[in-house]
Amino acid sequence: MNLVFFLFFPLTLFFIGFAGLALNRKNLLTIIMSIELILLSINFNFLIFSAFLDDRLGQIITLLVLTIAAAETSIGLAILIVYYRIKGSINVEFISSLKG
Amino acid sequence: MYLCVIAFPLLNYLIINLFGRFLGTYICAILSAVSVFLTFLFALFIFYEVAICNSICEVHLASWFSGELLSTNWAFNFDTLTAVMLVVVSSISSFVHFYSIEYMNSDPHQTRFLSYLSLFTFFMLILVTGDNFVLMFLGWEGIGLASFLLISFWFTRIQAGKSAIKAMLVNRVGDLGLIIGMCGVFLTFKSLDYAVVFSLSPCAINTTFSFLCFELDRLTVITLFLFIGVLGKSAQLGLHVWLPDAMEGPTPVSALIHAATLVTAGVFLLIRCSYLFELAPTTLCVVTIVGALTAFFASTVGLVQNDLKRVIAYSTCSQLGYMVFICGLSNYSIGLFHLANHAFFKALLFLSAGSIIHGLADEQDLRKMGGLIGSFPITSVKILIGSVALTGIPFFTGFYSKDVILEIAFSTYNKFGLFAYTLGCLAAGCTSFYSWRLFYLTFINSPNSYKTYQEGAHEPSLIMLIPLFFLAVCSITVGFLTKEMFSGLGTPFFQSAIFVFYKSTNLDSEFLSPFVKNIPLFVTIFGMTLSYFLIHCATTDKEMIFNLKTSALGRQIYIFLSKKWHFDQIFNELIVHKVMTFGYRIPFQNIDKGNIEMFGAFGISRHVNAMTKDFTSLHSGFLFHYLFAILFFMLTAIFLLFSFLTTTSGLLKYLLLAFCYFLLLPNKNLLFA
Repeated sequence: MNLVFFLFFPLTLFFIGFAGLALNRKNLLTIIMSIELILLSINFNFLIFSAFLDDRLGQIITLLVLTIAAAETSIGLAILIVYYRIKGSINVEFISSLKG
Repeated sequence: MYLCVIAFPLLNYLIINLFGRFLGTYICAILSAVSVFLTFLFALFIFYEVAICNSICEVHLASWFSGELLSTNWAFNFDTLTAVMLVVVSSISSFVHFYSIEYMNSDPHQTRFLSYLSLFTFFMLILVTGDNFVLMFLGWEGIGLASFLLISFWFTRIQAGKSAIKAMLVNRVGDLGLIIGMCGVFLTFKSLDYAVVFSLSPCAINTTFSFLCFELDRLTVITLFLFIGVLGKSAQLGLHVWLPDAMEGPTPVSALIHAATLVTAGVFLLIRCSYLFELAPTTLCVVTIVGALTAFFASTVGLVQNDLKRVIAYSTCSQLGYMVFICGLSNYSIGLFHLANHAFFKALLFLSAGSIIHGLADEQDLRKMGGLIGSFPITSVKILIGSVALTGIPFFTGFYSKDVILEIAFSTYNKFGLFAYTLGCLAAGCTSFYSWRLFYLTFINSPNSYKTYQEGAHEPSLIMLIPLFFLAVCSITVGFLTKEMFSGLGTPFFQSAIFVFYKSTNLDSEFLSPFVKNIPLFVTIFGMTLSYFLIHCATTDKEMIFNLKTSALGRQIYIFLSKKWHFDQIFNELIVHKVMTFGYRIPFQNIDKGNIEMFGAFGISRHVNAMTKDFTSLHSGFLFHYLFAILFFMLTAIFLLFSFLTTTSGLLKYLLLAFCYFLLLPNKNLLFA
């Protein structure tokens, strides 16, 4: 059982999450879910390395990330609701008023 | 004392130009006339002392500039040649100054006019007295400048301005040749002083320049370039186009510049450099041919000119041709003789023409004159004297120099002499024809102008007539009085000032058969008779002259001559227009506005602007675009970093850097297809 074998799963998860971010052109909610997915994949990574290196720090960071993810999701959902109140839609394609 | 001749016109110019408006027109006119007349008296004194008493004088004033081998001095050399030129220039100039008091008195800028005349005289005197090529060049350019100022004296007239520019630019072509010639002189002789150069000139025989793989004879090259300068200044064929156009200035200017002084500067240079020219036989052939062609060309064009001043201008051009070709035949003293004589009768002709123009409501067109002999009795006599002297009727001034020129040309034993003789005789015939044509059309034929003009026609006042009187006296007597000095057999007059030809041809020309000697006279009389029948008698029988002019051949000849052999047209179309088009297309459009702007500041700023626009357009405002860009560039950066760190080859590293650069170039289409 080598490290690469275990790292493959979180990497796939990361890219799925990223694909959800990059390819999604409709729903703002999907973006928050994709971010959650990315954070989870990173948590996986930390845990795997923590086990592999036999070090406690990774698990601590994972706990920290979990709390941050929760906070971030709540804030994100709050912004989403505020945005929906103003715009009446959560379509990503229409969020483009800040152009270069 | 000797320097007074140079100092007086200069001081006069400065005073009139700086304080003229405080002094007033009247005082300025008197001042300038008096000071230039004093110059004339000094010149006469110098002529007596230097030329007649054989005491050459050299005045070293100051050092001007000096380099390693080159040292230039403000030094003035008074030898016979200079003395003759001094008398000619200062006398004509003082007559013209005096004449201008009356002629220009209703002009609002008379002080400016007089100051320019004095400036011109000053530079001309510098030119003739200078001891080295540099001072000569100073005078040479100075008279060019003064002629520019004088031709465009009425600067509000567009034609005057254009003529002045033309005169300046065409002269500049010759000046370029003169500069190159001077460089050649310095390269060969390591000095620009006349004395050094002319005494060393035999050392340069058979030495060569290496130029573009050609071995060119030094003296030939130098003299040819000097001759280009002569071409420009003396209005010889090729660079003659400025002279007739320069008639746009006031008439006294034409008399001073285009008859007596400016155009003689070229011949003066030729005579001054006689020691150089004499050692370059090839150049002498060129000089002879060009001079003869000029004499012939200008006189034929003069036949059909309808402008009073233009006829005289072409006759000047023609007479300059005589002077040049006789120099080409090695008789420089005769050239100088003709120069001096010509100055007097040509100034007389111009100033008389000026009095007619002055008295006839500024009318210059010959076709609108006629029958003026009653209104201008004195002027008509003056013009008659001038014409007779010009055509070389015996015992008038022109005869003594012109006939000698033709005789020498005939008795020179080569084809160039015969060529010059033939053309010279033809030119003499034409000269006679147009001189009498001018006389008939102005004075004798039935009047053609308005009655009011005819009634208002009047002789000028005494101030204008006195110079004419003196010039007329000179036109009659000068030739006879100075004949033995200039062209007498074995005359010691010139000492070593110019090259004097001691060969048998001068004797031969003296003992030609009477028939040959009289040929020029016959030709002149023939021209006179022809003029009588064609111009005078034709007024009673207009049918004949009309048919002659409008027949197929007659019309072609007339157009050819009145278009000046199409020289102006050829120059304008083949040279001037082409050069201007080239100047617009290539240097202006393609280089200045094209390549330099494209690769210069303008092009760079435009490129930067375009790049910035591309960069900013990356920010589309869409979240997914930003995310994609972040991912893409992050991955690329990681990839490149690893590649860069793991590559050992130096070249590959640079290639990777270059790849990075191109990746970072803004290309929206690459990222978001």
